[in-house]
Amino acid sequence: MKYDPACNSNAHLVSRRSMLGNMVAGAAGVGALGQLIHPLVAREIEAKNKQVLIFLLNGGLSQFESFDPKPNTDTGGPFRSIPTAVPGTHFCELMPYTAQIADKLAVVRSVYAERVPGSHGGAREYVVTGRPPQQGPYPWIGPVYSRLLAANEDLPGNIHITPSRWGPRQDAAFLGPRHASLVLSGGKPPLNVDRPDLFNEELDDTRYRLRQLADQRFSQRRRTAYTEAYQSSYDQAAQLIRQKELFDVTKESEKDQLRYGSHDMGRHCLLARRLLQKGVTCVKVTHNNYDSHMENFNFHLEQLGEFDQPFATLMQDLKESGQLDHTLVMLVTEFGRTPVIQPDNGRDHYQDSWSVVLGGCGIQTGGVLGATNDNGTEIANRPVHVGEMFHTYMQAVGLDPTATHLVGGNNVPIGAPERSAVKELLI
Amino acid sequence: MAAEEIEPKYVPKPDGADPVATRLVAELKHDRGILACKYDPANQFLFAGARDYFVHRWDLGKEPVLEPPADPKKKPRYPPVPTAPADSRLEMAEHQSWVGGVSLFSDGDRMATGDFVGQLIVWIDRAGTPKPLFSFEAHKGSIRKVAVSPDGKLVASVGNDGAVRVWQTDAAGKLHQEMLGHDCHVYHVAFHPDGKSLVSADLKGVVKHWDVESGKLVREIDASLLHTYSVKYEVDVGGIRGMTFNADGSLLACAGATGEDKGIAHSGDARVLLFDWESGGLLKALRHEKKEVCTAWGVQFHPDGFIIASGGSRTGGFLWFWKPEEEVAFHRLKFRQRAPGFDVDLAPDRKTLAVADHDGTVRLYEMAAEENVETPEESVKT
Repeated sequence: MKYDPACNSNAHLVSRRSMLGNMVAGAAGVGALGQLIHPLVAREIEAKNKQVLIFLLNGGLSQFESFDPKPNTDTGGPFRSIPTAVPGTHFCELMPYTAQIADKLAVVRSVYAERVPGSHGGAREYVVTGRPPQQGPYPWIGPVYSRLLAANEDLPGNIHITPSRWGPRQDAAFLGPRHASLVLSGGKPPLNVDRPDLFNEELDDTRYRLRQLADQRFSQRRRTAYTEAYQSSYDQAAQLIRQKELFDVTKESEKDQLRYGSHDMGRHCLLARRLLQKGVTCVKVTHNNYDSHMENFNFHLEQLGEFDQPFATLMQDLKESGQLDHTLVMLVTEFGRTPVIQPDNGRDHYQDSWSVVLGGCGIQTGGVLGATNDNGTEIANRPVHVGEMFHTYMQAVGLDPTATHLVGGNNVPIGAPERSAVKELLI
Repeated sequence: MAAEEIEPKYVPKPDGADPVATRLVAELKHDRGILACKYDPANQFLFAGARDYFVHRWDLGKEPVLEPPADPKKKPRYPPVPTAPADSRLEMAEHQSWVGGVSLFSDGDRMATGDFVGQLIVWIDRAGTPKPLFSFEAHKGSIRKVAVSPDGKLVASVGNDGAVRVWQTDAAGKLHQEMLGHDCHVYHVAFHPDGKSLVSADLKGVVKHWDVESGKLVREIDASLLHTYSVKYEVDVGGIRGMTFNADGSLLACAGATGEDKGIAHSGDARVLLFDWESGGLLKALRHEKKEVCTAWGVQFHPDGFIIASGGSRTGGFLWFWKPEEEVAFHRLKFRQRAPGFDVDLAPDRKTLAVADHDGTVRLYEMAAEENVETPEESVKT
């Protein structure tokens, strides 16, 4: 089978990252290779030290219960709004800690998208690729950052901290599995990261060098995309084994572990800080259970109660360490939730308007862009399309979203060509 | 051959209620979902909490009227129902969030209400010009329910902070007892008719029996059938949504939903658990004959001996009727509107039910056949 970087066949569905995630030696199904893709754009030198922290509030965060509260209206929930660090800007009372760091954030209250097939999956893909899923597959934003920003070859460029039972996603598309997310399910290190007792470090190095020699000899006559993927997988796996402490959040001080909280979201935020400090280019943290068709208020109370403090703590730490100066922070969700309160005290999916929050490098913080009407049923001011947000995410870290990837001889624009960045959000 | 005699599912007592004949008789309209409703023992008023910042009082003495149809040429799907006139509703302002807890004192003068930001208000002159006697922050976060003791000297409140607090009713914030021990949101509270015991019920289906005087935990009753832990989503789902004693305090009913792990977007199946108060043992898990994917939100004992629950989901709302000795409902009434009834209360006449509906209406149902008229089409006998 010939190498086709844009192919979406099942043969490519075993990603290199999923292999790395399990530390399993064997790359029989490994497909497209990032190394063979040459973007037309030169990597922006100044972008090389940029990092990205993405929070995905999975299921569809309610804008009413977070960044665009409408208390005492027919659509507002039972919760009050509270003042924030930005005079005149109010958040829902479920986010008291985030309200205190509102000056480090830019809130966009007028994001929208067309309805797309695939419910959550489709909408999520729209948000993280800037393109409707039916046009794809396009690489998700993490792999794009890994491809265009990652400077340290010894580290995974794109790590995804997820709730338990999340597996790897095929999120790199034509960028190749090299840039697909390394998934840390439940915030735990990759499986089998410990060297077998059978080998000490010296013996293992010897074994590794022998394998390299065999690979090189084989590759001299039979070099293909697959052999490169195979070799690259081993190389990165070996690096991860050497750096297994990278994933060990218990190495952080007890004081910090207490500050972030002992629940999963607290641990995951602390792990994100650790990964960023160690130089990982893009870290994504997914927080679950916002798909509140039923009991919207109970679930948002629970979930935001978990999310709020560690998120604000992490933002504060990044600010104090100076990392926020070169780290873009994105807080995204696949869509908002309906103004109408449904019979089961729930809110359904809503793509007509929702909120996205940015912070860190390249972003004009301390303000709100866009507005919804009095009861949040429609955008009243400055609609912002998800495609425009994708361009903004690129431009904030110094990347040119109008540049292209070279895929199989074709130029593929990084961002949807019909869209452009939201200038009001950028410094 | 003689015709086969069909045994009626329920035989009304002389001059008693006939639940099988239950029919909609009036609508008390508002524009926000109704969360709780309580009849005034004098049958003069109906009080309700809703998804707004008011306590609502309807004057039941003002005769409901039949409004002309919006489109006279269009045949209505259902026969028209009289509606309470707009001036029959009084808005009592003071709360700062939705009002989910409403409980009346038996003195005819006072009432207690609690809102979703933890404020508890004791009102006076409820039948005249209601005004707060006092208000205070009783809980951090939402108050889910309040309950006034039979002698009116105490009011209990429960909420999202996991606490059960019993307050004296002669002044603001005078704590009689604080009962701690729930490890999750507490959804419901009720005084035993003897006034000496209090039960509180939570998200995980734990019912705690407290001694009112000492504040000590007496025992726990297991209603965890009404709770599901979603392994996939790692969250607790369900909980005890309605809870009440029968008049002599020998039975305790807990309403909610049970079922398999369906994640966070779907309810389990409606259930009412019936407990023997003395032993704490489960007597029956009351259900509909078919799977009813929804939640039972409100529950009441009728003096004639049957049990009534209201509930539903987005697919429909229902009233269910059970005999305590039978697990399967002998009758179910499906609402006209696709909306659950979040609460149900029995009128002092013992024949009328008020249901607090999601769609912003309190609906009154009469448990008696209309003279010379057949059972309405929406009444589905089981």
